Amino acid sequence: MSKKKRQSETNKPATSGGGDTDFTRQQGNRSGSSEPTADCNPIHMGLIVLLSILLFAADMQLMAHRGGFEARVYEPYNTVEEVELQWPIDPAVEARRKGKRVYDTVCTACHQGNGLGTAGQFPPLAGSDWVNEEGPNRLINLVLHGIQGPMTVNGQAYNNAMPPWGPVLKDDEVAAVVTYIRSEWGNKGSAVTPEQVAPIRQAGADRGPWSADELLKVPVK
Amino acid sequence: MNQTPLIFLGSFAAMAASFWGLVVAPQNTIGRQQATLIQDTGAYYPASRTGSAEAGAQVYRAQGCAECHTQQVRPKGQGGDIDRGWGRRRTVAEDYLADQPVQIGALRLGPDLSNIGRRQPDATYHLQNLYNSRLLKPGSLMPRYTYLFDVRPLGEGVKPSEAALPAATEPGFEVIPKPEAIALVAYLQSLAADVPLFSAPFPIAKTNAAAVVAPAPKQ
Amino acid sequence: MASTSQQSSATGLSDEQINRSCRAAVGILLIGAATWAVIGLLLGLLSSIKMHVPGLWDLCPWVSYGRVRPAFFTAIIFGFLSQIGLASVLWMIARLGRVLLAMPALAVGGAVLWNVAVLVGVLQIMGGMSTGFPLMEMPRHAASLLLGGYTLVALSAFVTHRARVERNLYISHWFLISALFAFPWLMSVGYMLAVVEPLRGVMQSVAGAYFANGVLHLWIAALALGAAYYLLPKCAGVPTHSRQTAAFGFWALVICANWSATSQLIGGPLPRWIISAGISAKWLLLLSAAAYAANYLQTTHKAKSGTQREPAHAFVFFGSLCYCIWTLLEILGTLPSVSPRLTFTLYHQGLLHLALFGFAGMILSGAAYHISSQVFDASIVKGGFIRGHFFLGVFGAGLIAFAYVLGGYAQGATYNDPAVPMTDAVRGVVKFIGMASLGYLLLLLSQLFFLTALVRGVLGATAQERAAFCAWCCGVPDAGNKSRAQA
Repeated sequence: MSKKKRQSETNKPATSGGGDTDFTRQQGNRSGSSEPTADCNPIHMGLIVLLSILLFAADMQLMAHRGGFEARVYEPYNTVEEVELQWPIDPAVEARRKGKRVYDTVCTACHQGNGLGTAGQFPPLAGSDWVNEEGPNRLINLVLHGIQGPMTVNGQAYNNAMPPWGPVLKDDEVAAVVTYIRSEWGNKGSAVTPEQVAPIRQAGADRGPWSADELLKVPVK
Repeated sequence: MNQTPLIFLGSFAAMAASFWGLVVAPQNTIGRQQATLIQDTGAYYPASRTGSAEAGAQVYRAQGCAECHTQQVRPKGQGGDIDRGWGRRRTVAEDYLADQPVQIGALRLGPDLSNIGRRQPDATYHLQNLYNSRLLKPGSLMPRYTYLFDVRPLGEGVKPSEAALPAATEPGFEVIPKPEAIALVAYLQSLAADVPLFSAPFPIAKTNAAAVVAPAPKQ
Repeated sequence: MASTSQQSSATGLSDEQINRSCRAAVGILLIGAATWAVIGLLLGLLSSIKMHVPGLWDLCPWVSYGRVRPAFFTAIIFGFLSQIGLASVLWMIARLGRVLLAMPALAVGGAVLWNVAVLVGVLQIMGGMSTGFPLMEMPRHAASLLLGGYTLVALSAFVTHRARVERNLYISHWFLISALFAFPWLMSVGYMLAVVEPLRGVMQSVAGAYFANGVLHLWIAALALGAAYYLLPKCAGVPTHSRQTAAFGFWALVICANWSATSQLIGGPLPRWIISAGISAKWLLLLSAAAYAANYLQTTHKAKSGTQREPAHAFVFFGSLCYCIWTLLEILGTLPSVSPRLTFTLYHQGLLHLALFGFAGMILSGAAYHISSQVFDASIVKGGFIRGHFFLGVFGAGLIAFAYVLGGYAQGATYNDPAVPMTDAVRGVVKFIGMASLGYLLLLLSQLFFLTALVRGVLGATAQERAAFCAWCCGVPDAGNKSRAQA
């Protein structure tokens, strides 16, 4: 019985040394029992440094391999465009894309993305009589050399200057943008190839911007 | 200060955030995918399994085949899966739309099975492999699934039944596969993930143009 | 003999009283845990032998490799580790709160139900009813029983916690309580989205990975860390060095472990971003290990020399070391330069064993010894059993982890080399698997030591109760009590 009493009073595990060492007594515990406590000491600076390094590394990893957070992008591709490049390109689709790229770069500023231009200032391209001609020659000339002075588009009068884009755009880009203009926004014009652009460029190699009257004399086809 | 509510709120917030990010958000994209229509054949990929193959999927699950076999092909640069001929292209989420349960596996102690239906279309091969893999591949570590077969000794002059495996499988005995074995083999024969999909083109671009069953790429 | 240190004040409870209130529940949980450890390791040893002797017992479907392996993991995670974790929850919340265990009958009921659930689950897996998802193979009905057992135990724990006298929380509280919150959430997400009302396609595997990763980090690891922080000041004889560091590590674990689920699916059929998010979160988990290591080193650095060593100190040391190594190797496994070589090899199995047996197994075993020496008989930690358990456990866990990690790395190259036939590549792992089988045997022996020590201790401490129970059963007046009353 006495043995049991002793065991009930010493709740420490009995070691071979026996005795009543109070290695389990901790300071700071209100109830004075032997439960573990924790001191309040600052976080080691090394952990803060590690936090910064790991956050940086984890962020770099995620940004490099996020695939644009697209559900269609699997390893090893990084963007949807990369995946699209694996597939045969539909030439018509690719041409339209190219034309749109050129248009968005140089034409949108004045003629707007919807091809309606600005009333009184820049003529529209959508449904324009100049655009929907049977042949593209006038349009190619216009793009290559620009136009200035008074002109009538769809019965409206305009008097402005369009800079020449021949020095800036290559033949295929001219062909692409003219094709785009002639087929977009309900326009029903034919497509244009770079082979059609090259002779026109050569023919007018040193000329300045057109005037409307001059251009109207150029055959359409 | 009672910190318990703080621990609860913090844990809950963390779990909710990860649940949204890893489960809900992907579910809205890959979880809502539909089977792809293959333009040339008019069939849908992946085709849902019926009958024996569907039952076979449950046999596959019950025997724990996914403990040693994976059903996922990695892309060409990331391991030798495609070089080993385990697939013409990597596997993507769409390949598993018809699986119930999805058994992609995690450890390989045997070959990958995503395209085993193409590599080994022969039912007898699979049945013999299940009965005793070492007959076909000496040194194989695959267990013997003898309990999926009825093994009866052949009496004098008794011919083995039509359904029995070739005599060489167990000389002197006839080995007849049970329905579970047949279902499992039907399932294995249905495993194929070789229709090129937008997210998983064949690694060689020209092959995609020439592929008969290629669907039109998504815009 | 000053016993006032054990008695708080005139109105406070003594350790002995609190210990006694936990007896029944803790007893069932710990003996259950030790039993399942032995059963689980028998299954594990069998599965390991079957890996290199594939024709063994092939006529019996119940012990086919594909069934015995998941049964092994289920028995270890839910039978062995979880039960010691639950015992730690109940006992530590009661002791730290300086209050008797509330609703002990509920806790006992929960403990019994938990063991029944694990038994049903393991048998059903061996019977061919596994769900097919890694670490979540327990079929849904056994899982419901498990959730039921959890509910009863958690209820007892929460009521005890609410009734606590010592209102301040210690570090262990955070880990144990967040583990209690995480478990039902993980069970619900995993089972509802992968088994009961499965999501379409590979999202099932994501739900399964969410469960497996959560069980490993937010349930088992959290329980082990809670127990480790309880034992750490006892090992050192001084208070834990920094509460702030522990908080830093705790929040790093809770926040980052949640997101690291998909890092186990590297190479898998998931969009790139999902796997990358998991990998980034896994890297951040290093903070949890670093904070724990900092606290461990800073606390033991101040350890009073000459203090009586806490018998569980060796377990805490080895477990802490394994925790850090496990975290580092997990991160190594996600690096793009080596991950193609390590994916689908035994490397990740090795890390799983390191976590289950090296880290959680050791720390929770140490906790089990500490708790049982308090609640039952202090002699449990005397003598050869605890030493035998420790050393066999260290070598067993170490051997399995070493064999699988090395084997996985060595064989990863042949797996990715198309010139080597797969059969030959796999055969090359056989020697490592053989090493691991030896490791399983050592672990099994260590757990037999554990079970023996526990049973002897529990039987010794409950001699009185058992005699009374036997007498009650037989309708015989209790001779033992009578003689004591007369003494």
